[in-house]
Order: sequence, then C-alpha cells, then structure tokens
Amino acid sequence: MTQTAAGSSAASLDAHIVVERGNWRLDAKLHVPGGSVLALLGPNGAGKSTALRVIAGLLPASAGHVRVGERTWEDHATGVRLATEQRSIGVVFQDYLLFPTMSARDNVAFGLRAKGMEKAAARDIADGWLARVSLVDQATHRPAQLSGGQAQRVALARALATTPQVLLLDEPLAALDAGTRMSVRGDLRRHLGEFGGVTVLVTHDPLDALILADQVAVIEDGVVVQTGTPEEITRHPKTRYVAQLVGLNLFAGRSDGTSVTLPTGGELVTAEAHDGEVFVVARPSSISVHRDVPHGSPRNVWAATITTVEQHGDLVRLFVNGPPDVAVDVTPAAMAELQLGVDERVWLSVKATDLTVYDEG
Amino acid sequence: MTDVAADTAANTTGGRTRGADPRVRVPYALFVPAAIGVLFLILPIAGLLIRTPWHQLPSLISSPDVRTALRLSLETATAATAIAIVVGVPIAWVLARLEFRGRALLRALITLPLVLPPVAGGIALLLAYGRRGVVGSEILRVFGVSLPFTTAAVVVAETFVAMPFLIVSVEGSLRGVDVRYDHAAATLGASRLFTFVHVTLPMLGPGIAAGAVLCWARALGEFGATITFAGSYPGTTQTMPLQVYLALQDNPDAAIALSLVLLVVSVAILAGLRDRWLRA
Repeated sequence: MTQTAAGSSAASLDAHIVVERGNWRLDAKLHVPGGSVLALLGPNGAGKSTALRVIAGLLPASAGHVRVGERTWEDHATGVRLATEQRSIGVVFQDYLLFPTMSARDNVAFGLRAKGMEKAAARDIADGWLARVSLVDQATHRPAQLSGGQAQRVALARALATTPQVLLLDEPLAALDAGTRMSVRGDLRRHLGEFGGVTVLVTHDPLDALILADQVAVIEDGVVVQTGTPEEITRHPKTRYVAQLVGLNLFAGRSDGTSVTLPTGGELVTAEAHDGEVFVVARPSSISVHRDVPHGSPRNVWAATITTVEQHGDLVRLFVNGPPDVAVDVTPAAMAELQLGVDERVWLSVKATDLTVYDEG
Repeated sequence: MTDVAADTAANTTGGRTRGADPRVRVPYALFVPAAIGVLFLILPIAGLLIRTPWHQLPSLISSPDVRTALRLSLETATAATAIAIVVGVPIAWVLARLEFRGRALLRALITLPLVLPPVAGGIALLLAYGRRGVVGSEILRVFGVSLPFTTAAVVVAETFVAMPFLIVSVEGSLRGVDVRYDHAAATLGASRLFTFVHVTLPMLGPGIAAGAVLCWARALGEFGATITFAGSYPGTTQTMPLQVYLALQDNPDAAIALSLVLLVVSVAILAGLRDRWLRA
C-alpha cells in the first residue's frame, strides 16, 4: 500500500462491519487487496447485502469501520462518516436501477455529469464505456428497450464510468435467465479482470462466487464462517453448511473441442465443444461410485481413493482423490451396499452431459 | 402535455377484449337506476347544446367583453397552475418521502380546500390577506399594497382552491417512484438537489402534467372564492365563470355561449386525461 497518488486505484478495502437490528447481528471483517474480487456468499437474509449497503454508505453501521487505502470512509471510534455521494464507489444493483427517463448513454454519463463534467465530454466517455460492453448500437435506447443482459451491462458501465476505487455488485446475475446468465457471467469476469480497484460481489449462487472471485467469504447468520480462495472453499469446506452450499466440483482447464485437459491431472470429456480456457462444473450427486470398472455409456471414468466420509443429513459426502479430486454424494444405502470407507479404492464415473462448461471469458 | 399524449399512443396499441365476461353474473335490476343516473348527467349537456344560439355564436364569443374575460381566465388559471407547480411539487415530496409527526395532519390541512366550499375559502382568504386580515393589514401597513379585488387576488383564490389537486396527483406519482433510484444516484456521486432535478423530476413528469391539467381546469372554473376575495370587476377580476353568472341576468344567450366555451375546454381536458382516469 503506497501513498503515491497513482496508487489510488490500487487501494485496498479494509472493513469491520457491525450492524445490529433487534436480536439480529452482522459482524464481518473484510480485507480486499486492490485489483482483487471478494465474493460474499451466503443464503438470503445472511447479511451480505447489508454489508454492501454499509460499504456504500446507504446504511449506517452500528460499529466498526470502512477504510479504503489511506482514507477513512466510516469509523465509529472517531465518528467519521462520509455520505454515499462522497465515497468513490460504483454499485450494480440487483435490479440495476437504471434511470428509466434517460438513454443508456445518459445513464452511463450520469456519474460524470453529477461531478460537474460538461455534457458533451461526459457523453464521449459514456460512449467509450458502451463500446467496451458492446452496446454502441443501444446508446440511445431507454432502459425499457434493453434486454436483461444489456441492462446489466449498462449498469456495469454506469458503475465503472466514474472510475471508482470500490465496485460493489449486489447479486449482479440474479435477475437474468439461465441462458443469458452464462454469457454475462463470462463478460463480467473479463471486466472485473480489467478493473484495477477493489470489487465486492454479493451472491447466493456458489457458481458466481467460484468463477468471479479471487477470495470467497461465506456468510451465515451474520457471521463469516469461512474465507479462502474458491479452490480452498470447495476442497476444504470448514463447516457442513459451507460443504452443502458450495456443493460443486469446479475444474479449471483447457478445452479442445469436447476434451478438457486439467492442469492438476486428468482429462474430462464434455458434451458441448469449447475452445480455450474453461471451467467445468460437476454436481457431487451426478458422479457415480463403483467397486469395479463400470461398463456402458459414461465417458469419464477414473480410479480414485476415498479420503474423507461426511454425513450430511440423509446424504453421505465422500471426498475422493483422483486425479481429478472430487466430492461425491451417495445415499447411506449405496454406502452400505458398496461397503465404502476411507482409503478404499473405487471407480468414479460421470456422464459428459452432466458436466457444465463455462468459457473463462 | 406531450407525456400524456405519449401514454395515449402506448395504451391504445395494447388492445382490449370486448364483450361480456361470462363469469360475471349481471344483476339486471341495477340497470334501471344506472340508466336514470346516466340520463340525469347527460341531459344538461344536451340541453346546453340544443339551446345554444349557433347563429349568433361567433358574434357572442368574439365580443370584446367575452374576449377580455376569456383572456383573464386563461391567464389567471395558468399563473395559478405555475405557482401550484413551484410550491406544490416540493410539498408533495415532503408528504411522500418524509416520515414525521403530524404528517397526516399536514396532509389533511393542505387538502382541506378540496372539500371546503369555495365561498368559505374566499372568506378565509379575506380574513388572512384582506385589508384588515391577519397578514393583509401588515402588508398594507408596510408595503402600502392591498391584495383583494385585484387580478393578483384572482390568482391567489384560484391557487388556494386548485393547488390541492396538483399536490394529491404528484404525491401519488412520487409514491410510485422507487426511493432506491435516489440511492443509485447517490452512489454515482450526485448531490441531493442534482438527484431531485435530474432523476426524480423527470420520472414525475407524467404525474406533474396530469396534476397541472386538473389544477388548471379547477382554477379555470373557480367561482366562489374568486367572487368573494377578488370581486367581479370587468377587465381585472371578472373571469369567465363570473361573467357567465352575470350574463344570465340580462343576456341569457351570451351566458349559454360562454358556457359552451367552458364545456369545450373541459372536453379537451378530459380527452387529454382519459388514459389516466377513465380507463380503470
């Protein structure tokens, strides 16, 4: 953390957010280095959006502090509290909140105009941002004329146009249908990669968190129960809750047609053809465990060793080392029938159609 | 008014299903009072049209007296509407957006002129702003100006009676505007006033237009408060409704012709508003 002016865009976010409401309490400590993305992952009502609103200054904290670089935005020890409009932030709201009376261009230019920039200059910059999110042709459209994915990109461009130090995304993909979501998620990942400031992303979708974030903080009932890289969170969930929440096997790899080579070893065959860097996702319940080499249709079969067995309600989760290493969910009945246990050698299989592939973007 | 016109175009493209809804069980007996009521409402309008002296109409309407009264009516109603917008929109914002003790009481007081008989309103205005009024006597002493029985008094009377229409309309529109747009503007660095001017006001456009039309129509037809507070001096305070009433004494044909003019104005207003109020 340098004190040079040029370092302002790389300032880190340091926050201790305490909000008390009746007998509900949020207490979260966050540290996000400049240029990186933190995802707050948790169920609805866990307090993650509340944390975002505190950082934005839209909600006063009950205690704690918010510091960005050398600057204090809020500190209850000293009574400092900057108004929202004084904080260097960009927010993408869950339902975007694009101003309905303005064109896409004027929405993006709004922040610059509010800071006193001439209309023509602000519009030029806005057009540049619209070009970056591939919406040049929609510049004069009103929000009502935009599709969900387009509106999301306008909202992102509007939030970034003022080159804020902190970008806050509140469930940025929740309002999109499944098909659009995938492509928008890829675009968003690319834009977040180019953004030099701090990004805090709130989501209830583990996939968003795992794909978009450098660090994931899982919030449950107002408390951060685990923080780590997506890899750490999925491989070593600290609590049963986290294990269930991030119940996904996520592989980063390189795709060549329908074959994905994993740098950690192994290869997966997918149904859809892709090229380049991809993520492959397999649900633990879609992977089958066998005592002997399975025959028949599954395209992906590999030998592995069971390392951990965890009981989650009426489901048993096995952590199995391959490569690739995966989590597998089986029923207690299957567990007994196959006589599965730690250190047992087993065969795993998963159908190509049960693997979802995402372009890394 | 362009916003209202745009709404009209947008809504008519929607198309509606016509014909009886088979799920509705019709209590036919209701048709009798309904028909009587419809006749009761329509007959006076028909009577006005039937008895209008169409041949003399051009000369009656174009007489200098009528043109003066018409111009005075249009000017005062427009001025009253302008004042109502400048003062009423902020009042509507306070009523819609702020939570405070006594808000219900404030709203009741502000909307009182909606239900107060206009003549009583005129008396109240005299007691406040008249030569011996609570405020008026001070104004007369300090500035040497007396408000009653001037054109300004007409505007005051019309504003008093008509502004609540605008406030109620704009407050309703404001409640339909998500407060979070204010939050979005703040995150983009916009001050509160910049947000109000560039975000809130444009979104209120249709509501303000509708409220202004209602307000203007009410001001145009104002009679009781005006004659009480401003009197009926040709050229300075004698608006169209006052002239209609006075003409009825010695020149009924002129009264009918003037009423017809007011009717035409009302129909034009109704046409402009039909999408907002007549389509339930």
